[in-house]
Amino acid sequence: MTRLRTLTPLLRPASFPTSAKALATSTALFNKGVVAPDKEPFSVYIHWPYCSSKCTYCNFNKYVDPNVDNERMERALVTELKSELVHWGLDQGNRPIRSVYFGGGTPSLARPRMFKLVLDTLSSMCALTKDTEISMEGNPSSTTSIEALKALRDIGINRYSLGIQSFQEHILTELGRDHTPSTALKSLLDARTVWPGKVSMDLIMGHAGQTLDDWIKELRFTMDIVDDHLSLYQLTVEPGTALHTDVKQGKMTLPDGDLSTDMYEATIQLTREVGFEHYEVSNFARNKAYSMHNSGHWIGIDYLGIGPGAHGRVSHPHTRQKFRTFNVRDPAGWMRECEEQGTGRRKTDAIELEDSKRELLVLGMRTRRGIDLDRFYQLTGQGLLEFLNKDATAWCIDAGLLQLSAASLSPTERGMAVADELSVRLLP
Amino acid sequence: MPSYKAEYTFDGVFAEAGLSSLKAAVEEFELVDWLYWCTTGWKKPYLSKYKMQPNSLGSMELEAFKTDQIRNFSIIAHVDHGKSTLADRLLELAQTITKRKDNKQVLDKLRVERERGITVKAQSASLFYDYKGKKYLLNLIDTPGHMDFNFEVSRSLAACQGTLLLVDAAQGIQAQTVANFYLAFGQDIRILPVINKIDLPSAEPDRVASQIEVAFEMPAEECLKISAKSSLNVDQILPAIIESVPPPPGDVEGPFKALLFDSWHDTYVGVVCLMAVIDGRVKKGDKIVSAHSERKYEVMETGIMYPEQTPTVSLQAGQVGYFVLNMKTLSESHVGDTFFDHKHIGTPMPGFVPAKAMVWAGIFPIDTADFEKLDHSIAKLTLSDSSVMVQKETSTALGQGWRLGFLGTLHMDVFRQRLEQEYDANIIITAPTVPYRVEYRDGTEKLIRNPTEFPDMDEISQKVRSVQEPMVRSTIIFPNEYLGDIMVLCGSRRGVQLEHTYLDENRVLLKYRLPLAEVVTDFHQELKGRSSGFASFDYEEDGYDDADLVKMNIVLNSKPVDALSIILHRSQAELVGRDWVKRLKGLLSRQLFEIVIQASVGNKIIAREGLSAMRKNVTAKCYGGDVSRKMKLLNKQKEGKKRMKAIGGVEVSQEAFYDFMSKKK
Ligand SMILES: Nc1nc2c(ncn2[C@@H]2O[C@H](COP(=O)(O)OP(=O)(O)OP(=O)(O)O)[C@@H](O)[C@H]2O)c(=O)[nH]1
Ligand SMILES: C[S@@+](CC[C@H](N)C(=O)[O-])C[C@H]1O[C@@H](n2cnc3c(N)ncnc32)[C@H](O)[C@@H]1O
Ligand code: SF4
Ligand SMILES: [Mg+2]
Repeated sequence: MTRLRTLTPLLRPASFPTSAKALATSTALFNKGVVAPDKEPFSVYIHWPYCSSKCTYCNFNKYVDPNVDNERMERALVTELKSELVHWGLDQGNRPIRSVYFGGGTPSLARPRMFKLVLDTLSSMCALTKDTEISMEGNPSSTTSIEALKALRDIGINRYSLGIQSFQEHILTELGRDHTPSTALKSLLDARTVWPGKVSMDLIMGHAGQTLDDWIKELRFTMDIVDDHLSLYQLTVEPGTALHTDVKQGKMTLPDGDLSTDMYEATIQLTREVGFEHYEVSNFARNKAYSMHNSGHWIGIDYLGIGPGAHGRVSHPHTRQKFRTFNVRDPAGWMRECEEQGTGRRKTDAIELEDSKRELLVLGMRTRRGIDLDRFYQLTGQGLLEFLNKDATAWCIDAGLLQLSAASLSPTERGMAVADELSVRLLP
Repeated sequence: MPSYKAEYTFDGVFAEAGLSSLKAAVEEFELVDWLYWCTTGWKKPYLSKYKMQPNSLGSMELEAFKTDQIRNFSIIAHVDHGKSTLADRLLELAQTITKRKDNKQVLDKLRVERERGITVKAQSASLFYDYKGKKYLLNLIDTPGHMDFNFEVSRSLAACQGTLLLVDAAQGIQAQTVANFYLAFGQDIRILPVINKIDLPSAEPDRVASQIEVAFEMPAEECLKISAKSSLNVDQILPAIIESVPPPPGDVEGPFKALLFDSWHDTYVGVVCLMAVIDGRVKKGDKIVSAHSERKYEVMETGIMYPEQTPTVSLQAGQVGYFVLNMKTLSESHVGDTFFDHKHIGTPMPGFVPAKAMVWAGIFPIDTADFEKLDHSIAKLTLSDSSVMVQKETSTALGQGWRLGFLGTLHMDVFRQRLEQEYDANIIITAPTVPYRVEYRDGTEKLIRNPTEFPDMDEISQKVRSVQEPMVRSTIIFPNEYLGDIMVLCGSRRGVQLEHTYLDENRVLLKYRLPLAEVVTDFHQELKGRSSGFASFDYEEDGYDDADLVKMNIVLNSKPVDALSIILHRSQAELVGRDWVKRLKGLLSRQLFEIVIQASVGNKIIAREGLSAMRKNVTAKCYGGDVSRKMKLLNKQKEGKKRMKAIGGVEVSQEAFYDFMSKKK
């Protein structure tokens, strides 16, 4: 610990690249007591950057590397985690951990040791409670035995998110996935026995040539085997992917606006029929099995970003100024930084107060819960309704796109479908 | 012989030009060449850099050119029959410009002119030409062919004693050929028919010559047959002018008198006036007075267009040249004004009927914050185009703007393009309106330039005696085979036939009386469409007629959009209403709410379309790293919204508005 303290000059406000203005406003707020001394839980995101193959649609920070140096990677993760916890004053015991999320890439390719080292570090430096949600992402191709899953559970993982993407062979091939529908199904059932009620699965809709009927069939099948959480994404053409090239060159056409809207609406309806709540644009839960980690992100909870290319959003322990952090993206470079500097954090940007407000708006409009009025005030020092364009707000409420209660402003189902447009409209 | 006294040392300049001295230069060049070399080889900076003495190189001495050595002529023709190209050839022939392969319409100086390949503004140029051992000073005016710029032709003709009427050997007589012929005919000046483009495989010079004989009663054998492109027979032009165009009348010894027929704004010297000197002589320092304003001016500089402004010691009877008079604004230079020596004020020339605005349109900044800047730009642009009428206007839908009067829709389009190109303006321009007239029962009259000024139903029934629309008399020329189609078109535009003539066995000339409103928008396009591009068309004003007119409103979500209202003949309201509403629907993008687009006349809805609300607009994923990117995008979108006009609560992009108005979609 003492060694680490000398590696990063910690807890000295001067070491934060704070914009003078942002610092002044947030200090003022803090002095006025707008934000209570920090007891707010925070989250931790751990990025495992390796995959066994590259999917055609994916532009996440991921690498296919047959010679992963697990040992070194694990060490670097732990080093960075320790430095960052200290740097942001998260080892002071006042802030419990809300969630830990192992994402990727493909975390299920990592050794169980990696999870153990990280969780041990967390529990030794902070308050890891029995309510802390600890999730990991997994691919069907790398979770072949139920024993392996049990080992992960025993280490502390209590929620599992399985990337299935599709149950149709030709779609899986098209996407460049390295598993079949049956391995996916087996992985899912295994996971459900290990983490009953705590398994989520990802599916993608809107593939080239996919009809509304195709998707409805796939959804109905899914409803028979699903646990209590679902992420159903519309296929998005991301720059720098093989899919992007194909679409740009006209080799592939994705469903147009109307068809993709029909799929979106069918999804909401079919999941609702079996008890799922559409609680975020692409997320569905029943029995209140919401993802704590993701919901935290949407309501402005701090999260630490650990690992290559991970990003975080953390508050200064004294001034409560929020920062966005960015890590070195390539694993080798990131590991070197961790070894030499104690952290691979490359950029730390103060988030202007106005940007915080906008972020709460944009993310809030994507969720069923919407924006909590008190919380918005506590975080920003301004009332939400004061911040928003008044005419537009009134108009959207009238038009049945927004709902206003004493506690929150939230989008209706119709509103959520046009959340991007709503946000632009509601901005002052 | 003119004298070119040179009392200066220019050795540095000569060295740069590759000559050892002035002497060498004079020896090397003939006098005329020498002049030409001075202006083109040295360009202006040199002329002003080295201070000129009077009578030195910078100021040409033109005193020797008495009226019998002067000819003033213009070139007139239908659009694209080759006026500007012929002007190039004549300038080369007289060595006013160097003969080069790529001289292309050098007198078309504006960027719009070069881009569109048309002449918009008449341009003058002086030539020196030796003929039968005598030196002549010729002044040539290239004119625009398009009917919107007719006024340029008339005022140019006033400074000429002769004109070349150019006719394309393949196309034959066209509508503007006829119109321009009559303009020249009316001014009683010598008309030389010239058949151009005889190099074209499809040229039929003899047939065109006989058309000219039929239409204009000029002997077919008098026509010169040339190719301005290949220069074939172009050498016959200047001799023909000298032989048959009379020298300008006028008395060099009499008191100074001149006709102002063009003016423009020059960034360096301010207002420049182009004048034809009728009598007397004028030089720097003289005092002259405007008959129109009675204001006195001191002459600061005189010169000729060679083809750029080139100072002269003096100008005298018969000569055409420019004057710098220390005028502050272009409005002081009244086209058609007569100037006199301040001690000898005589009878002014008849002047011109001022150019009339045929169409009016509203112009608005996209971003209301640009109002001031745009105000400035419009003021500046109207300095170089004084035929644009300007009034302020306020629209509920579009905010503060201007109502501008134009000579026609091409003129309007050229003005818009110049605003955008030369002043970087971001504007919305409304549909053009012709000037309507309302006559009240109490005898008063109102001119309507904006549909919002149109009286409402109640007012019409209680107070109005009649609503009138401007009429035109139009000439349409085309091959016989399209006769049926074109008569149907004219009929559908409420036209009444006045005349039907055969120019030859298969060329027809029709005259129709039509409402101006029917011809300003897409009539020309329709004509071209129905005649495989062969029909040509021209019109002149022809008074006002009573008409059953209504105002059609466009209503977006039950809010009328004033900027989209138009005045129409009752019989057409429904058709136009349906078309507009449909096109609007196609151009608007879906928004958070349903949009109902309606067209109404009075309280009656005549057309309706609905555009359902946007169903989905949300990105599937919004992970941590995307958030900062998403924020940037959001801010950009917000900025974008500011650049859209919210009309009746409905956002309309500039492109949509523009496409709608220009009927592109
Ligand atoms: N083949 C051929 N083409 C010609 C001749 N003279 C002009 N042209 C072409 O005809 C087109 C129109 O020429 P312009 O000189 O711009 O015509 P204009 O009469 O000045 O046109 P506006 O000013 O727009 O009325 C150009 O493409 C010329 O190159 C000719 O003698 N023969
Ligand atoms: C970062 S991936 C990691 C999960 C894991 N590696 C896997 O692929 O199963 C998380 C999820 O994002 C979704 N996703 C990634 N790229 C996407 C895209 N371009 N369009 C839609 N969904 C996408 C997929 O459903 C994927 O399961
Ligand atoms: S979708 Fe998952 S497995 Fe596929 S490349 Fe992306 S992170 Fe790797
Ligand atoms: Mg021309």
